[in-house]
Amino acid sequence: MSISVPLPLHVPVPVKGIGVDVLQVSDLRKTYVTTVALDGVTFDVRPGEIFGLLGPNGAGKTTTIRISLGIIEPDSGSVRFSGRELTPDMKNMLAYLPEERGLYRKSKVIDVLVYFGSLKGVQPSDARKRAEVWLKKFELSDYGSRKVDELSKGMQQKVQFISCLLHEPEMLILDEPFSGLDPVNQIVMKDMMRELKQTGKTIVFSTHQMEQAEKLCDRICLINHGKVVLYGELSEIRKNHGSNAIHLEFDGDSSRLHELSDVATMNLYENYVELKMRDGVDSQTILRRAVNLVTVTKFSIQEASLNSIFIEAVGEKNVN
Amino acid sequence: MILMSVVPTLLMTKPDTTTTKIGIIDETGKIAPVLNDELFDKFKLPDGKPNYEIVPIRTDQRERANKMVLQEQISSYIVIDSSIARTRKFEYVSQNVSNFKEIERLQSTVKDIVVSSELQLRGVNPGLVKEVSKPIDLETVRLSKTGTAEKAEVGSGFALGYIFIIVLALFILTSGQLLVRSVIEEKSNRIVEVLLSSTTADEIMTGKILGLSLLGMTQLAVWASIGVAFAGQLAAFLTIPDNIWWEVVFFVLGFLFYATIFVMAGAPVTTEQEAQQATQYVSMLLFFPIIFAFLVIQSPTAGYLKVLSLIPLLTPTMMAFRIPVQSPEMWELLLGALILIVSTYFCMIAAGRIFRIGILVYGKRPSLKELMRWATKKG
Repeated sequence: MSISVPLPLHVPVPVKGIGVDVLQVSDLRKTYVTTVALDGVTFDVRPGEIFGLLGPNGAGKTTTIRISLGIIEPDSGSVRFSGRELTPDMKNMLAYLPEERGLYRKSKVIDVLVYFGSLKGVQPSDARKRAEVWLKKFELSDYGSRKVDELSKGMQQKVQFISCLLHEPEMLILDEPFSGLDPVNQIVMKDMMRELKQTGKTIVFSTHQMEQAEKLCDRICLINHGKVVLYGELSEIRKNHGSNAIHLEFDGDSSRLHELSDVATMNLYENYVELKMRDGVDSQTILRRAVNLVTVTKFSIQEASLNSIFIEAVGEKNVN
Repeated sequence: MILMSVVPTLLMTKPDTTTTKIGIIDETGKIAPVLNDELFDKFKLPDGKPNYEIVPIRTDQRERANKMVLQEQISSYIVIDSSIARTRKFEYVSQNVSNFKEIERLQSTVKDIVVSSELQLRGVNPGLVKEVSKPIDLETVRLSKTGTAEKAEVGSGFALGYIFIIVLALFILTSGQLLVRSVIEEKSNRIVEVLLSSTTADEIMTGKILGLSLLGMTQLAVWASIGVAFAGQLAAFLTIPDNIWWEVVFFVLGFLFYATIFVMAGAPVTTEQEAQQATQYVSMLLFFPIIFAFLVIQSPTAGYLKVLSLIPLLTPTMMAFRIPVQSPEMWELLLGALILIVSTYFCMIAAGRIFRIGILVYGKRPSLKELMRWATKKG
């Protein structure tokens, strides 16, 4: 089921050279008292792509985002947008969705939207009109004059998201945009992000939910303990990490599969197993062995899921 | 807010509406008969009826008197024993001994009666005494710097100072709360991050300071207009001194300075509880200058006051009283204003640094030492 949210009022034409749609993060370092939050983080975001900033909790994603937006200063390293340092004008072309709701609880929804819009340089009367259009599109028209804390969490998240879109930014930076959303709203958010990409916007979002990242990102940067662990095209990364995974469906005694050798990891179920072969092992060898142990009904070689790549990358680094 | 300050005063001066019954146990036998009439002469209700009615009680009926009070047949009773002319005191018994108005009236009326009777005993005509002891008025004339003499009521200068002090006290109480609440709201809801993605910490802080100062001015304006509304009584007291503009200057500077201090205290706060503490400390700090200001009333020209007026924290309030009463020299005014401006400027810088760091810090409230470290850390 796809829920589509219609496009905004007009499609902004990206103007070359003036835009902020290229983000260059270079060797960021940041220490909080004794904790090293960032230890040399470098990556680029290209115009018009959806870029995933991934990592476990505490990896440094939020710190990276805050530094990129100029909310806090790094100890060293630089952040450039299309080659330039962040200026107040350029801030009007960016949008920020913080991880937790950043709305004035006791104010009316429409007032909050108009205020945040005006902070980004939109005329208040304009902001009001645009806000009403967006509220309608997210089916929140009835809530415009309600106080923010009368809305449910999911609705507040939508309002927060609208506040990112009012000023028609070139780049959106979203910190854990899916957290706290129910499955239906997660789909709405995903669809929204895809639509925005189609209108030429660049989207950077952080998450530790790999299923979301997998479906959306063009390129990713995975950080752990403040260091970059993986970086590049998602498809490339999956290819490089992929071919060791085998999925088998079978009949018979599942416990017999423990006799399989050359298996690095195995997730075993009643009639189904996901396993990772040791490096250098041929998939056909495993198949032949399995056939001797159970009745194989289905056999496929999987590209590794981002989830398993993540676990592997983060797990290894933890050992270090 | 306005009602809260005006209503109590109005209530205190409100006239009674019903006659109060007061019992009297009089051993001398001479006072009770006269007291009722004397009280009626002096104190009447708006509708002309007597404000007080005396109920004589026999001297051996103390118990009954108490019962009458408890049963609210009389509101109180007085006991006058025969030696009152010598002991110079009598007793007032009631369930409520804080009714100042009633007590004071009884006291003065009984005194008048006793004095009058004593005079008669010694052969002096009470009526003559009354005429001779009429009070003598003092007419006050204020000499301004330009040499013009204006008739002015006693304490005319202070009225202006009082208004300033009242408004300042209100300002401290309300603005402190407002500022700290807004910081907490924005911090706990992470709104501050969104704001910082659009603007700088300095801009946010300046906005809050200006907003608070404007609030102070608005409060002042409201009070001023109330003052004008009650113009009848106030006009007699209020003489506008020549340098009223200096008064205004110190108002404005005072608000800015105090608002900056609030920002410094409020920025590191995260929880409601810390907010209370912070507000309390700062309020106490800012109430000190008001106490000092009252020194001015006692001896407006004392030398050490000149020095005290130059201490930035005390300047606004001290100048507030000194200007209308006995205008300080021009150099004092200029110097005071200058020092205040410079202090405010440096405080703003320190406040900016504390604010910048404080609004993103959650958890344990930083110690005073830490705050000092923030203030001295550049950018």
